[in-house]
Amino acid sequence: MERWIKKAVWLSAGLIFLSLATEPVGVRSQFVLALTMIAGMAIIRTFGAGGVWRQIFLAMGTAVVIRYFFWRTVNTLPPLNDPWNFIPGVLLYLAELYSTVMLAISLFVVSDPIDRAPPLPLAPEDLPSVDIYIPTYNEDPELLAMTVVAAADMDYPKDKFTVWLLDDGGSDQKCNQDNPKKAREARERRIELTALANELGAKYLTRAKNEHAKAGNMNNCFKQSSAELICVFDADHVPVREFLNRTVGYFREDPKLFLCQTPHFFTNPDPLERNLETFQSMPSENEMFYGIIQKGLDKWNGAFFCGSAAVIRRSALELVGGFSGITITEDCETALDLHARGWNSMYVDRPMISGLQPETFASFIGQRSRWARGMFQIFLLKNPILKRGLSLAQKICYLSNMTYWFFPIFRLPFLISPLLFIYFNMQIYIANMQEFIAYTALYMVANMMMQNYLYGRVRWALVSEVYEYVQTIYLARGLFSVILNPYKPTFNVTDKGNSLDKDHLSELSTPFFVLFAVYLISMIVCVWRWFTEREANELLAVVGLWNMFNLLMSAAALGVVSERRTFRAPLDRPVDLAVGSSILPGAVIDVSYGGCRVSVPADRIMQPITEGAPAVVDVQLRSGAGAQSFPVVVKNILTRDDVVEIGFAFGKLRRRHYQAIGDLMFGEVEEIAAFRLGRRRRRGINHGVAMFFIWSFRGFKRGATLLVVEWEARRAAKAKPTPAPAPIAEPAVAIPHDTAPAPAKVANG
Amino acid sequence: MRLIACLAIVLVTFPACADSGPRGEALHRLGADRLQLRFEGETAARTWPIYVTQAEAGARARIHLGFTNAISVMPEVSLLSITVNDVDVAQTPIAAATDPGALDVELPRGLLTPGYNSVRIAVAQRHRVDCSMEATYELWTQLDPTTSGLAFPGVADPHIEMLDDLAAISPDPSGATTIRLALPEDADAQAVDNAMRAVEAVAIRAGAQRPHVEIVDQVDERPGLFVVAGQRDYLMQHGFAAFASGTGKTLGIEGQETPGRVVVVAVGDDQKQTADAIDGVLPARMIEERHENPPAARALASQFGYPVRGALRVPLSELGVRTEEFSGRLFRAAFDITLPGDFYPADYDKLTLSLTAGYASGLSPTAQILVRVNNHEAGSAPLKNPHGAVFHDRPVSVPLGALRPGVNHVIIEAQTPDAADAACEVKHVMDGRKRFVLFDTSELIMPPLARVGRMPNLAATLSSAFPYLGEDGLVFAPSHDRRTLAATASFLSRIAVVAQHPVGARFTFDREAAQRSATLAVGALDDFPSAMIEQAGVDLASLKKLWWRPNAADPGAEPSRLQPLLGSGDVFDQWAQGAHTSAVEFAPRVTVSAIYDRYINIHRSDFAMLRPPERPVEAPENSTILLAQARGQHGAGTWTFVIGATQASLGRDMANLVAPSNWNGIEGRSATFSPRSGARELDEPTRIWFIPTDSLTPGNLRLIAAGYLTANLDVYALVLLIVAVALGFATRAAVKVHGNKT
Repeated sequence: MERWIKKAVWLSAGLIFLSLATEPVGVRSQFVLALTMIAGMAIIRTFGAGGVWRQIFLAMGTAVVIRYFFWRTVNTLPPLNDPWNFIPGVLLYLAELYSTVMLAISLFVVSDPIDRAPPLPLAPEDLPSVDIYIPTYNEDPELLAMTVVAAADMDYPKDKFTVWLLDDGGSDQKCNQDNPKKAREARERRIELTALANELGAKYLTRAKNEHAKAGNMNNCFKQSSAELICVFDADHVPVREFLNRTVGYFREDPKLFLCQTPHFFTNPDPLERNLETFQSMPSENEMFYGIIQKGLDKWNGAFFCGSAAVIRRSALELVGGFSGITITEDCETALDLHARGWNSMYVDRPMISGLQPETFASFIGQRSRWARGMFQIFLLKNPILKRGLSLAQKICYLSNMTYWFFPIFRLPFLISPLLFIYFNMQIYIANMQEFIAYTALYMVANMMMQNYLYGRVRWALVSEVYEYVQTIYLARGLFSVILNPYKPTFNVTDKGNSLDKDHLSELSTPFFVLFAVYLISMIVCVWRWFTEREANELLAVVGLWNMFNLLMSAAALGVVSERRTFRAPLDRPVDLAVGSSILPGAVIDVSYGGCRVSVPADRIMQPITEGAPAVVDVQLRSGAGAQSFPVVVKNILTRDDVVEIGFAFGKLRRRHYQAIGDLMFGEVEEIAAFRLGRRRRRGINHGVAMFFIWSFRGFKRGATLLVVEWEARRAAKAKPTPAPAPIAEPAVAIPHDTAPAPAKVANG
Repeated sequence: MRLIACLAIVLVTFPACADSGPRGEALHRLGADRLQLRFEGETAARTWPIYVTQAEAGARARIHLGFTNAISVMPEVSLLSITVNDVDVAQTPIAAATDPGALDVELPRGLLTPGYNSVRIAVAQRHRVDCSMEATYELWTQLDPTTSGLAFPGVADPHIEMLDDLAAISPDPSGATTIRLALPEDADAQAVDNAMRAVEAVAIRAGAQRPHVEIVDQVDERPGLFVVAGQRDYLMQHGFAAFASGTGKTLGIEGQETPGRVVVVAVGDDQKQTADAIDGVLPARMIEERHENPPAARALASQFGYPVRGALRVPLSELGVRTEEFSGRLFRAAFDITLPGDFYPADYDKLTLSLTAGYASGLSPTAQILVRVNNHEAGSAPLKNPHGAVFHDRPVSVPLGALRPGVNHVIIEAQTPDAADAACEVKHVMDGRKRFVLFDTSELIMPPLARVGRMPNLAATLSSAFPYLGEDGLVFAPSHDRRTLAATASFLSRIAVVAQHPVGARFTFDREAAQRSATLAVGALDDFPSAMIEQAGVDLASLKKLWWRPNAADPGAEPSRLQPLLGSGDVFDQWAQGAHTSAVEFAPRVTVSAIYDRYINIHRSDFAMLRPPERPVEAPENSTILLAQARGQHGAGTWTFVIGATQASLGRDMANLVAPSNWNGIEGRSATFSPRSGARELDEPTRIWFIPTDSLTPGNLRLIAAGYLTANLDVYALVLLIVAVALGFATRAAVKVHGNKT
């Protein structure tokens, strides 16, 4: 009853609000109104008022947005009898409509994000049995070992859980493929991983054919295992010990719970973070999703399965015949089916896995392209709006997840429109300067304030623009191909764990240089027009600012596609190093899946150390469980001033050795949380705008420098008969391994 | 197909002193005052509907124009042309800078039809030596109101045979039509009411643009138009027995035994019959339904501005605009539209002119189209393409706040200077390269209008009698004085002519009644009770100070004849003001306040809470009539006061106030008239009230609210702020009871 009354009150308040906001008042009323709302929002923001002020803030912002959009719809479209302007005008309008709908959906989704209390502890005999799935396709054994050992070491009764290493890289199909080299590699992989699994206390499983990719791989295991719960970790997602204790309890509390999802935390920067050097200070891109949106989705029972770091109820999954596999994003599809059958999901905002993200821009694009195409596939093939059984709220939740990925298409008009005016004088947005100020400019301010208010802790202003821009060009192509053939996309495994050893331009960088040049030339044309034609000034000024924004964005993108050599802050973890007959006090300064680097004071080295010499590194475990050592082999030695840096490759590692290395590489859950929290300082719009400018200038500088260097190198290579790769930046110093990057500061806390 | 039946260029010099048409000829003057017969700028045109009786239509007809023009008009390329019923009949060079010029041409037989006919006069003028845009303001041609009109050499005076023929009565040279209203001394309110209604009806029937009512106590032998109306017994007793004999309802035209005399009689045995008789004077059908010839119907429809009642889409050809190719640098096409009295003027939507036009290559980059409404620049569109262009349906928008109830004068102006204008060689001017064309297929698109009486609004009252349309309103005169009553009758008649229906409110002498209802009051300052003046928001002290000092308003001066309206000095001032506003386009000045006005343009008066309290209306120096509108005490409705300095001055100056050039300048909360500078608005209202008229549909309410919120910026912001806060609380409450909880 109370629900209905409150709903009715809300509906009537909303109706009055809507009818007032769509009053066709004049431009001056709009100006005063928008300023009033913005001032009100600024006051609420300044005093950081919480509670109901959050909803009031958003209502004020919404008033400005509705007013803008009403005006935009009614007054600004070119006339129908002018198709040359009307068609692009409508395309731009649709792009704005898209972002407004996205805003509306997200306002609903994050209207009241919730935090879950920890689950009640269960008596040991009540603990459910768990199968832990670690699906793999082509990841390195070292990387897999770290995940498997961490999973196997989880704080849970050993007889209650099984770790499954699900290898699709060693399937019968792969082992018997026509290419003899690849077939041999697959067979070797199967042997190696079987041994690894045995060593680390896991079960190795593969299958005959690689049907339905990851979903098929897990379904294969699903048929052969029987535990009550299923826990999925991607190959590179290393869990903390408390993972199961923090999640399985919920399944006893709610018998209809089918999913408990936890956030993905990445210990390495994505290309943007690395190339713009924001990893230490700026929250990662996914934190907006895991830090706020998932909590908002959870409110509406729409928490979303993200493919890994989640626990699933077997009985629920059986009802839908295992993991769904029509599309390439099996996670979303599976959860959609179960939500539609009335099962519940939940989200626990506690980072309990450490994962890796793609290191290179190209692999980053590959990953995002898969997500975007997959979501679009589901949208086309299993549209949540038409899905029976979902509540309205859940439909909106799923729409919010899927429609987000349409951005590459809708961003295109924003990139093209200013050019149409600058070069062809096309007026696709009918408004005078007074209206631009009162409607468009103030709307943009209010919109940014809303975004900043909602997501300011986890997303700097304008960084979304850069993220979306760098993905747009390649993802748009992918989305168009899905439209043409929704069944076509195939699953490709994201390439992770490669580190870069020199600065270079990404192989995908060419379009970004072309676009930058286009915007630069347009800017010049715009300025030229400004000074030569006096009468079009106002419009030209507006379009010029718009083009300037695109120019700055494209400059920042040059920084993103100028790949930076992987750099990690020194770890500085004290260890004892046994080499030859002496034991030296040292410090691990860097560690990865292939090896580590230890610095030793030069004056402590009594005997010469030779390459290839075996050694042992002994490290105090942070869990307080004493010391643990692992075998290494000297790869290289570098003397700097009074310290000697010794690069080691790992020797033959056993299960306990991985514990020690994992202890070096990954942090405790509290440290991860603290690191994550440390980046989440609330930042204002000014800060975001300032950073945007800084990225633009640096991006331009780096992009231009690398372009010149690579061009000269190519010319030099052409001149010489024997092409030699030109050293571009300072070569990586004494990194003994060229595989996985690893967490740096995080692990040290 | 338009047939050029006769194209004669006739140049006849004519003595300029003629007071009336050539002797023995009936002259139908154009029914305009001097200002309306002035054609300024490089191109200008006006159309009049002129009534022709059956007899005249069959007779020989000539059209005669006398004119003078500015010395700067270049005769070689400047032309005055006449079109009758869409047929071009004559064209003459404009070369009367030193001596008055005249055009006199016989119209082809059969061109004129009985009833209304359309006469269009257009000029094209070029400057002799200066090709700048500013110089076009120096160009003018003035028609002589005395001698210009349609003449019928064979017909002595128009023979008025039926009520329709009343429209054939020619106004005097000042454009005024004198109507003598028979009313005995000390007539009671009922008698005055009947007389007022009758004179309004006659004024409408006669199409009197500038009705001038005189009260007479007998119908004498003078020529002229008399009105005798009332109840039979009353008229019989008060000396009008000659026209009140017989029984039953009597309606007709009498008195023509005296040449040039027309007496309209509307008499009944009882009040009901009388009212019926008076209503019978009114034209049976509305203008729109009369079957005139098409050009005449158009001219008639636009006579007081094309009526616009709501959402509408109409080609400019219907508004009297003709397709015109133009070779000068400042093109103008003008028309009037009339909006209803309950039109709410505010910026909740836009009037759109969907222009189909073309321009030549090589125009200066500053070339543009400007739309001016009531002399304010209201919208513009640049003509940017250096190669010229032809465009269809290009919208130029004008915020509805620029319009007002009643007549709105709309000018489509094209500024089309080119590079050669600077040199201004004669050859360049003579070549007359076509620079611009506006097609009459261009359209005027009016959005749905908010319909509510927003008072005070003198323009609404003067154009449509709003809010005195119904019989619940009152017309009040504080004195039985004849000049006061005559002024009241003139005032009401002018409203009735513009509105095309009589004022519904009943006449009264009763002060108490007047104070209790919606009242339109006309009288001299002395005659009004002081309290009433003060309640009407007028500063009585200042008025007394101004009008009661010796010889202040020249109360003793007797009006011998109607005064000319505006001196040429005033016209110059007016144009100079116009030139000043457009000077912003010629040379933009970049100052902070200019930028503020251009892009923000928000002032204290836009905020309901910051608006200064309404000050009592003070009449300015030299004024002799004060018009003020106020909200009556105790919910009495709207009071409209027309206060003259004295009875004498009221009578004299009302004759000028009702001239179209003055009448159309009256709007807002208060206005003033002075014999020297005419009528003008004194101040915009700060406190307004609404009178609901149209059914309050949700759509209309929404527009009304939009209008109000546009005029009160702070109210909108505050209301929406409050609703946003309420929505915040409601959202909070709703969100907390739905979905999962923490």
